[in-house]
Amino acid sequence: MHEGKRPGGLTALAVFNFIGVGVDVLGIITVLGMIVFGGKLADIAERGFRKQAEARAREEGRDPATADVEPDQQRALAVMRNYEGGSGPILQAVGLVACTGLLLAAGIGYLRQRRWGRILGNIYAIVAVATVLQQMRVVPPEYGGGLRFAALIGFLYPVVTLYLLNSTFREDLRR
Amino acid sequence: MSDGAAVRIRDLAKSFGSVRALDGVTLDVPERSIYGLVGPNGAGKTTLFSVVANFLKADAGDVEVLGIDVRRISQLRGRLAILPQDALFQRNVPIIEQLAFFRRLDGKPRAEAEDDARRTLERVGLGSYVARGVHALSHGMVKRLGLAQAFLGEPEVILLDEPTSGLDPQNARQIRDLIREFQARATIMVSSHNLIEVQELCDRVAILDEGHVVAEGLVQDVTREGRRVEFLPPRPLTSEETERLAAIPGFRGLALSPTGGRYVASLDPAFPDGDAAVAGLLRALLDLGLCPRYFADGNSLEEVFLKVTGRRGAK
Amino acid sequence: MSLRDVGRRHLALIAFYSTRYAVRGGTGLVFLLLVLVLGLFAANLLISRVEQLKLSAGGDEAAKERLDDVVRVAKPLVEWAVGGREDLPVTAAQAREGRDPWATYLLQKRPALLSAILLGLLFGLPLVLASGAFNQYSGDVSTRGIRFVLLRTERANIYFGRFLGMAVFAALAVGLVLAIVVAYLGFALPFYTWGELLGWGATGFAALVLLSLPYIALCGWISAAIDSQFGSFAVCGLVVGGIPLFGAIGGLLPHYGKYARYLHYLLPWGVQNRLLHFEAGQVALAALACLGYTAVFLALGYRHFSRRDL
Repeated sequence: MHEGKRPGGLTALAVFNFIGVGVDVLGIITVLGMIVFGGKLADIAERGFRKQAEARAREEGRDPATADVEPDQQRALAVMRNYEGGSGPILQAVGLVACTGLLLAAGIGYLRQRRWGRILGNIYAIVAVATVLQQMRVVPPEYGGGLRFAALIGFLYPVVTLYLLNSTFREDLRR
Repeated sequence: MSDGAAVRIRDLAKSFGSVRALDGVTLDVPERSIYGLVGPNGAGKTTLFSVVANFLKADAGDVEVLGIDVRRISQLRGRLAILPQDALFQRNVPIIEQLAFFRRLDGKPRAEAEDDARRTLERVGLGSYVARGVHALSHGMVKRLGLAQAFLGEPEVILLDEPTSGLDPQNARQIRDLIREFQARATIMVSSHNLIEVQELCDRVAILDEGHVVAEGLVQDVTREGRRVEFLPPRPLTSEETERLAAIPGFRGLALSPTGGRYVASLDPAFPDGDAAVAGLLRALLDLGLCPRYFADGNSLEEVFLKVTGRRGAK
Repeated sequence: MSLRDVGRRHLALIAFYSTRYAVRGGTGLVFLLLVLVLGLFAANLLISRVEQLKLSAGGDEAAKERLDDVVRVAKPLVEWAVGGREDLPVTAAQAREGRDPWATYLLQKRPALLSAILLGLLFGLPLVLASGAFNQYSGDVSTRGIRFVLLRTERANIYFGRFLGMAVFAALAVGLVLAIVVAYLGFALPFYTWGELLGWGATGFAALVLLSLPYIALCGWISAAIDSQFGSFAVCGLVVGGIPLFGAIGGLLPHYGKYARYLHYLLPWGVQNRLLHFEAGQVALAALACLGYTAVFLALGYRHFSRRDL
């Protein structure tokens, strides 16, 4: 009996997983960068915002010393400062790292048609949903947190994965 | 039904560009017979089957199966089946699901279709693999699966295009046994490159070459011109001994068989007493002190095939 | 073999199994994910800006006062899609009231945000359909797997059954996208009532389904004519994407521009947005045109499929 071949759909699912790994790695780098350097980045940004405000004040004939950073910009600076060392962002990063590792391992499991691939894929889906929920909680609403449409998109792939692994491709991941 | 012929082919022609794959093919396949179709590569065997099954449209000629023109193929639904050469099943879909789908197309409800599929798979020895996909089957098993789909629903005419090609002897034997089992209920046309298999299995045979039927009829009639003796002496013959045996009246020549060790002597079909010639050969061997370990006298489809297709064997 | 040979039961069986095998085989899964991901991402481009509006308003009740801002978010896409098209004939209403009535209808009389999303989906759906519908026949013809079915049913059932399966699958995928969008707009954003959203969402769904039919039929014709899956994919993409592209590029030419735009009518591209027109007559004409295109492509494809060697 020759070695089994994968359904094309399972290969496609693995490829989508690996694409997700790439995207998540970028997300991890961003979050980790904010956790470590959030405050410093905020300081740099604040200096730039102040210079913009002073330039606007001069154009409008006002005293530059009275110029202040815009409210929107102030909120952005507060978020960046909150990221640095915050427990919420650390949990978010942990969730992202877990999802990325699970995505990668599950994708390999799909390609090798192993039972552990299905198990890891199911775990990924649950962790991904929890991570999205955590992101919704941690990130302020004005910067994409809370119940947002983008968060619903974050649920999409885990839900589709759960369905496919436990119905369409269930028999293909039994070894 | 037309004159007891389950399949009736008249002046069939089919071309692919400038290549004439079938050129005026005419033959009748009697009911409940196993009909062999042999020919060199490119002779038109698969094309003929494909036209009979209406996969390909003929350029000219008529084909009737069970008295129905194959251009109205819908009227033969459930009565005509084929094992197409090189057709691939859906990968990674359980084989029982695929066969059940075919059976549902035959009009059976889901449960009955699955039962029929399971029974047929068990019959061809794939009962343990019903939930597996084609990717999990060996070459021999895939051939059995193809047979299973051809036998599904007990059709009256079955076309089997090279059912044993690429199989080991055990699998090939099992498939031949399955074919014989179905002969009681169906008319079967089999194409094959294995001439011994065709000679053993079939009642009638047609030899195709370059789109023409060059020989056709009952196997024993077609092979009458191919009588030959095959023998294995205790040691290789010397050149003098070979010359002496080759000179025995009634034989066209003596050659070492490609299977190694054995010699083949072809009888001249024009010689009036073939039995005397064979007896003379055996006597000559014994006179030389060469009691053969193996001595077989039979009609050979291969001889006829090589002769009518113009491909000569080594002398 | 005539269309009388089409059997409902066989159509349904073939439609069901072809879709099931497509998802397992990969093309169906990729198509489904493309529709979901691209559709929802495209919707999010507009929805995220409206979410910001709601947040800056400081609450649902205050947000309701900012409907004009929502319209401003949707306006550029709507006016681009339905306004300023020199090649479109001017209707009597437009002649009386100027070219604004259609945009006004979509922005003021219907949920503006949903109108913009629907127009975006109408724009992108054809290309996504090509990625899913290219393999209706070419794969099985090239592997000769279709021969197992040819003796068990009519070619008409195979041809139309697979078309039906693809159409239903596409409708389900599109319906899922719309359902998510409408549900979110209804639950999370205070600007429109459920009645408005569901009514316009249903109309949009019908428009998207009607638009998908001719493209699936066209890709089916190409798939039936080309045995190679890759060749079928390439030609489907080139035809579905290339014709409007050539029309648009040709439209820039100084003397022949106005003629080049008529290339759009080789496909439903020229009429598709009228499925969301404010005049019922225009909607009906656009729907009939989509069905007409579907009938033509199906007829051409079936004619080829029924006569060719398989």
